[in-house]
Amino acid sequence: MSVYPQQPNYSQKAPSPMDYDLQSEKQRIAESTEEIKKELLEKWQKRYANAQIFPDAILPMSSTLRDFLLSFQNTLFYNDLARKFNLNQKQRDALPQIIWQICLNKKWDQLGALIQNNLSIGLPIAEQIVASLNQNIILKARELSQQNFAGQGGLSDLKTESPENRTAKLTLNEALKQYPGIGEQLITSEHISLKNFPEPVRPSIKNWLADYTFTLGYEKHSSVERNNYVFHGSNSLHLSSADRQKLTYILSAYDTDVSITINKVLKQVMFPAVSSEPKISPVPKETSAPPTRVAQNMIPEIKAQRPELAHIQTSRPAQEPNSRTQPLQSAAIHQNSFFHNDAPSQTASMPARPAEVPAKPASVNDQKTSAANISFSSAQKLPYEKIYPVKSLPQQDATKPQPSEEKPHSFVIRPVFSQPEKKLETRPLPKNVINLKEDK
Amino acid sequence: MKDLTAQEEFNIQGIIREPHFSYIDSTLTNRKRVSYSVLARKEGDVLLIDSSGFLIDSVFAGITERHIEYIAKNGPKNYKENLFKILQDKEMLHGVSEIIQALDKELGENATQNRERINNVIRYIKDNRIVFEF
Repeated sequence: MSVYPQQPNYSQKAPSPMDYDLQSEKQRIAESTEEIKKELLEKWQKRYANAQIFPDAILPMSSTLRDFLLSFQNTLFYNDLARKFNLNQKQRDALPQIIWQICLNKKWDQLGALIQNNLSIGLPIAEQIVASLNQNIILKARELSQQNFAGQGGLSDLKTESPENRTAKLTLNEALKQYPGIGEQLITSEHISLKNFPEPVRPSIKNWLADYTFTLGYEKHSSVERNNYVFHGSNSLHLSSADRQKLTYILSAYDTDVSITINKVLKQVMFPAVSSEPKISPVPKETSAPPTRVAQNMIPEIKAQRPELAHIQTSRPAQEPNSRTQPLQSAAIHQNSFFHNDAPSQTASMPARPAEVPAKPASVNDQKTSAANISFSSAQKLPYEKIYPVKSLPQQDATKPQPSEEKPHSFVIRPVFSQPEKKLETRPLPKNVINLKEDK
Repeated sequence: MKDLTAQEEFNIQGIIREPHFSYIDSTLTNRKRVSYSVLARKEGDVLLIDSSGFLIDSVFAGITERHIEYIAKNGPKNYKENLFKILQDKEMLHGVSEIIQALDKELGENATQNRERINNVIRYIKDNRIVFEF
């Protein structure tokens, strides 16, 4: 009799169909799937830690503005706009491109012209579209573009994290190890050339350090060597002063291993406030008074001549001109001028810097001084003052350049956001101004 | 890992990362199934799909408005490039059209919500082509 090895009794061990719990099986798979997803997400994040998310063209844009422009709501808004104004597909498709173009170049005042040119529509409809775009997109975009402090990672992040939790003090090397994304942070605006790279590369921290170490070697460098690189290096030769300051900050952090502040949420180096405006150096007491002081000294004299100016506050504000506050002030003024499109644009009358509004005037407005009524013959002027020929300020032509064949004339120095020009026409000139017109 | 066998784990990973490889014969039913699986994902999970998946009609047909916004804001270059490429691929777009038609049909005779969704996604990519074109 043949003896068979003992077979396992499957019928006893296998669960019966009644034992199979579909619900728990589903639960098991679902939980495992979540765990696998987490693992895959970690792997994905490692893999794409240094990946390029946005094309180079839009990297300089603040991330809050970028996120705002990438909101899906905008697409729906363009659809609504197209429906409302009976725009065809081509016209509708042009809208977002125009908005991107404006936001990238920060040419906020070109919306009207671009809409009219690209959509080939009549002025009334163009104006309505512009108004709608301004109200729903441009206004907000302008605000966000000016919020550089919050710009690098979304306001939501900044709101949820307390300032203490957001930042960390680390050396640059530690920071680069801990947050590899920091290496991709752009610190200057122009592409740079690296040895052995055929094409210019992004001006990121990593690339700048690569160029620095290639040029000067991997060892630590003295501030003299560093400055030599920053001012005379092939890539740094044409840097703006703000960019140069940033580069110096990074290189000195690299060389000296000094702790720098890292924004953990944004994974970026936080640079100390860099002033893009020229700094006003304090004037020593021994020196003669600066132009502002001269102007101040003259105010009582002018007041004596002109009683209507008696209300003018003659004392200068306690604080010195602060270049760090200036962008905000100018921003506010920008918005004001934006709201009053009907009035002749004051900035348009400044050919030298048509897109910018001098920074100082906000504080002048705050003091409610009518500085527009003060005339000086001195060639010296405050940085925020412009020279306008007295004769050539008829009210209707205030924004247009004046003909050059005008006779020699006296000049009025006035802040650009002054009172209406009609006051300039009627008021008498102070004694220290020679009006050659009248003398003739 | 909740007592998963290696095979089970491999299958789950495949479904998450390469849903477009989960069918051998590309019948409409299979492609629809993939679209549903993409449609049901959270925004963050859609990036777990391999970038090559975004060149495939069944994956694209499952993308929602929220997905595309998330990809635009967080997706790496190759994801966005592929999403832009598929819009130039007439064959794939035809496939997308077939799938969403089938998806709409399941919802009812006159349902168009999937078509609207995909139109919105395509419109969004074109509106923000500056972000999708490298």
